[in-house]
Amino acid sequence: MPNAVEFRHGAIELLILKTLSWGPQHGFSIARWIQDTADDVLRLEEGSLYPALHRMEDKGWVKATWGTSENNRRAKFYELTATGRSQLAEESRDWWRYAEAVGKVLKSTAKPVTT
Amino acid sequence: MSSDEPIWRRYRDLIRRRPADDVADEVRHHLEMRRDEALRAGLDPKHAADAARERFGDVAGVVAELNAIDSARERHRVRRDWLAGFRQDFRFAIRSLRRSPVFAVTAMLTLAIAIGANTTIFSFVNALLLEPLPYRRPQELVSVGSSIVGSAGELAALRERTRSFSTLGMYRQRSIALSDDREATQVEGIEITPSLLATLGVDPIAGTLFGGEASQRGNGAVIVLSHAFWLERYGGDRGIVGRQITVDGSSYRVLGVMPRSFAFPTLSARFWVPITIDGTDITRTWAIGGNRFVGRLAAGVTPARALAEARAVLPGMRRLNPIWDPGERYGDETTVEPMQRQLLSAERPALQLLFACVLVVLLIACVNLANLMLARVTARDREFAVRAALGGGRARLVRQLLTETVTMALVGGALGCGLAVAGVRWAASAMPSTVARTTHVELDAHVLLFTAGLSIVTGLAFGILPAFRAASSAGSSSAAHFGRGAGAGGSHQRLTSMLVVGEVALAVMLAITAGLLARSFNALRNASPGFVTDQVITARITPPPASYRDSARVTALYTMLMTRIGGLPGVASVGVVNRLPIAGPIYGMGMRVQGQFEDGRQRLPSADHVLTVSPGYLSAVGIPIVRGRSFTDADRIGAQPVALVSRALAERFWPKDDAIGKRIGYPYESPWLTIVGIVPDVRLDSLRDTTAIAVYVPFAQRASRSAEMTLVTRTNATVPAMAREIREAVHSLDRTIPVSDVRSMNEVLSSSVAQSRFMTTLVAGFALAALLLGATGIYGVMSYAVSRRTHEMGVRMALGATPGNIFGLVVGRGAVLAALGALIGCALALGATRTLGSLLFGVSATDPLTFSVATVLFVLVAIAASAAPARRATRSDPARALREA
Repeated sequence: MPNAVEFRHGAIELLILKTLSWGPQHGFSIARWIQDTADDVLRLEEGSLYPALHRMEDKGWVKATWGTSENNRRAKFYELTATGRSQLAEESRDWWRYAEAVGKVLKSTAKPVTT
Repeated sequence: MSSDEPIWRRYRDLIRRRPADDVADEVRHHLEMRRDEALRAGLDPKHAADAARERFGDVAGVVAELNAIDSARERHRVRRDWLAGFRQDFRFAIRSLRRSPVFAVTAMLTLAIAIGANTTIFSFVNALLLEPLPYRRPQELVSVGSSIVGSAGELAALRERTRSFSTLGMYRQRSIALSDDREATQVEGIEITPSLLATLGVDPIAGTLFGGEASQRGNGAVIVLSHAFWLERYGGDRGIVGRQITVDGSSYRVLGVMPRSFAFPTLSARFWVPITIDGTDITRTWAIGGNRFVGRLAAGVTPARALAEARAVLPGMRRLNPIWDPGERYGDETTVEPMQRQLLSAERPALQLLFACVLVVLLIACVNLANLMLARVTARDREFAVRAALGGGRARLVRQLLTETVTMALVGGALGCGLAVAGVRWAASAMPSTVARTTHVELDAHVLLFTAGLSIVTGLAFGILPAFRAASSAGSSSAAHFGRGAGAGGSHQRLTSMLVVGEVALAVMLAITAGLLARSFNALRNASPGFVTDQVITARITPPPASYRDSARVTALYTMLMTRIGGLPGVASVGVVNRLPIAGPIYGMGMRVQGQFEDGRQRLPSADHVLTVSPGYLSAVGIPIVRGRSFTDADRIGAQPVALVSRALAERFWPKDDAIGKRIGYPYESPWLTIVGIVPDVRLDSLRDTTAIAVYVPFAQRASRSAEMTLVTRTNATVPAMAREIREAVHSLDRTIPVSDVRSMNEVLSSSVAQSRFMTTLVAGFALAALLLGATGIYGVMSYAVSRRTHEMGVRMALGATPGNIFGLVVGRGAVLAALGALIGCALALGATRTLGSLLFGVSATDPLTFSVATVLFVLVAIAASAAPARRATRSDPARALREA
């Protein structure tokens, strides 16, 4: 993929949380949705998706149940818990503040004052 | 989290697949979806599958990671469940104990006493036997001993010739007279080589230790004080360091004060002075000095290697001794052992015995409690059956009961620690002086840890049988429990009977031990040393060496003193002796015998004891002359040197001849002593002394320059009155002479058996406790048996049995159990009491009288304990008993 950006590790959980905010999904559909929505710019190591999901289940942000996927296969569906929802709100808030701050510095036109 | 999951979901776990399969499924699903996508895009199947895997990344690695996360989660869940279950068990245990307060309180009190006793004894075992000595690298400190003379000359030679020791020094007991502005007092302490004191590695809290030059003559007038002595005599005043004090008439400088925890070799050492090795004085350098050699092993050297080197080097040193030949076997049996072991070699077996006894008492208490718990468990049969029917697991039941017992045990253990604090204080004050003073004994972390561990083990021990009993009864068909359950009662009874037999066996073993010790003590107490001890009062006189160096002056002093005291009303006779028998060991020495052993090839024989006495001593203690004559005033300096010998000595060296007129001598170049009289054999070292080769030398002709003597008087005055008179008489001659240790000879005898008395008291106490516990156990078992068999009793009585028959039946059963237990106990004791060896006196370890008395005693106790239940059995109404079928 041309101009693919290296995926920041901490953000994967945030993206999963956001993805699940639309409703329960299994791991593959989460991967596909992220890929589609980010226009394939984010190079996601699929292998790191599942450990992140399991860890989030351990932390209580998501709940897992086994069901049948669209192609009639046994799949593990994840859904947000109440804790997960508040976690999503908090972390996305932080992310935007971080992005804003970085953007401000990058857009600055004045040279920093040296003392 | 998981513990909030609804119940039905938990049960679904029963048919859930293994977590690893789930992980595999999840990953496979993703890969298949990706492959399907690729297929739809037009790739062929194989490439599609590969592309999917490639896009995924390290499949195996991810699977492993997922499995790790999931199994960690599972572990946490299990642990949380387990803890929650445990908390539940604990709450349930408290509730169930509260429901039967009498049982709970009884159990906890019993445990408190039993565990408390164990904690007390263990405190001593820990402090004395287990704790490493508080010196620098104590494992390197060793004692070198036995089969050597223990003299300064040997020390110097060993230092030169061996490489195994980085430091080698010696120490011996020293008694000094301290006389500042206060009255002169006698103080016990230690003379020690400076390098040895330094190598122990303990810094003084004030001042310094002596440097090496202090051991040369002339610079020796320094002294280091012990903490206790410093507090006692100088009120903890730091200004005492550097000041001069008067020791034995000379001026000594106080160099330093040791910390409170320093006690070398025991707490009774109140000061340390450097040993002065005077190379010019041959008799002092090479005489038997009562010195103990202690050294620090060089780096990497083991005691075994040092021992080998010592044994190799010592024989070569035989000819170094200028005054006597120690013989061919010199150094053969020398030992090198860790200092810690050697310091307590006498007390070790006694402590170990006490520890074993107190553990046995705890074991017996456990048996009783197990029986009690069994009874409770049987009473709760229905409760357990219901639990089983509702799905409670057997393992869970066992765990719950064990929680109950361990909780009781821990509470009992905590109470026991409180009791132990008082127990340790009592024991430390009641223990014979040498042991208790070795170190400070307290309940430290090790002891508390031991108590906690012991409590848990105890709880498990007496809970395990009832717990399994409950589990097995819960497992069997529940219907039986709603009936009479006679079958279950039968196995229960067998179990409790076996436990009681075991309990009695242990108690009998303890009783036999106590009996043997008691008989030993009695024999000791009644043992006569062979001389008169009634109306004999002794006092230690210690003229300061500085002003009493001249032999003639010392003789004159004592002669005047004895005249003065002999003239007092009520004093029948008075004499002096250099060391008081029974109060401590009486040393001997090698001995020349004229006409024998003179070819120089054999080792010189030794006289076990050599005593310096005045003529009045023998009459004061009532030692008669068997043949020949006693000493008189004519036996003085300048007259012919004479000696008295014991009968054993006479018979050993002149079995067919008369010893009178024969000659013996000191083991160095000196005039022969002519034997003028023979006295009977008496005990000298202690009441257990069996060595009887003794030589008596007249006080006026003594070889030693020490002026210290013990005054011995036969008088009908009381000890306090006599103490006053003696002090007055001594101080009228010289105010600076301390008078100490005024006591009657009977008192001396009594303190010499103090350890035996102490041991006997303690073990007898334990045996009594065991007896009470055993009696309670038998009573409990018999009561239970009777209550279970009322139906049977009813039938018997209906068929014509008299109350007497029933009584006999029950009591007989109790007696049989006790007899069986006693037999087993005797068998165990036969093996175990052999180890008592050194502690026994005058009685064999397999003494039949003690064994039979213990057996009969327990059978009688069993009969008494069964009497009340038996009476109850005879009172039961046959008609009603039958109806309750």
